[in-house]
Amino acid sequence: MRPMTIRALVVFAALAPLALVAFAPTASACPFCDGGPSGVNEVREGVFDTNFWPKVAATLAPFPVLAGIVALIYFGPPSFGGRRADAADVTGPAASEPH
Amino acid sequence: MQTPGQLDRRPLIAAATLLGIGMGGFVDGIVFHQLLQFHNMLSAPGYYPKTGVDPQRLVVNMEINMFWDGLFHVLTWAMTAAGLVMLWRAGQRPDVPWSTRTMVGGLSLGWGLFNLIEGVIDHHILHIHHVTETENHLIWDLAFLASGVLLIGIGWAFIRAGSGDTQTRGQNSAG
Repeated sequence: MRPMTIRALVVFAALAPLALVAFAPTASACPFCDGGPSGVNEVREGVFDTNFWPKVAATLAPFPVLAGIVALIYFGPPSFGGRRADAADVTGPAASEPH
Repeated sequence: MQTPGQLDRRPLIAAATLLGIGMGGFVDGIVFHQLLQFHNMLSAPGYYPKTGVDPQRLVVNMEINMFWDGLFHVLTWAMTAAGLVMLWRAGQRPDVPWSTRTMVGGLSLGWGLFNLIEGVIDHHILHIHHVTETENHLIWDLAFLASGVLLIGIGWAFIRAGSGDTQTRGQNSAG
């Protein structure tokens, strides 16, 4: 399977739960939340209120910072994780490759 | 083009760190949100409290927080999945040493970064929840940050210790 296809599948699998949330009835197993004195699903109203997107942003807030740190590690200076090894130091499958 | 003899641990460190972030998030979610039930994603006063409310409102508030906890777990799952993909790709490279110490160090670094970054942002800047929703939450919040610093230090030590590891496992062609 091509890397782009794998990448697309991973992104889809990660985002699919969000799509389910958007279209599925929230708190459908909650016996007190559908109806009641107000006649509305209070859980769904409480989740998808006027502050929905600020709350999404607050929930997401740490993750771009964390992802950015990982990106700094991956793309950062070679001195962070690299070393120059002599040919004699390298063992494993790469050691059998011609230099 | 690969420089002969040049090893690069950055892909392994990055993958392990990402896995540590995701799994550290799962530790928080499972232990603090579900097992101990110390807090939820939006359990701070002014959001969806569990004390001082009637039973029906309590259930509604808990259900609302279950949604936001779920969204948090979507993100920790995505981090873990991405870390697995990066680890797989790192293992296929001939220039990435397959170092246990580096891997363990990255996991600890990631977990520590999660505790530190999530703690600062959610507990101290945004105040959307605290480790415990009690009057003495500051002590718990600071202890949470301290645990992050400790895990980062342990991770850094292991990563440094692994700098001498040269065993590789990847082939020149992807397989």
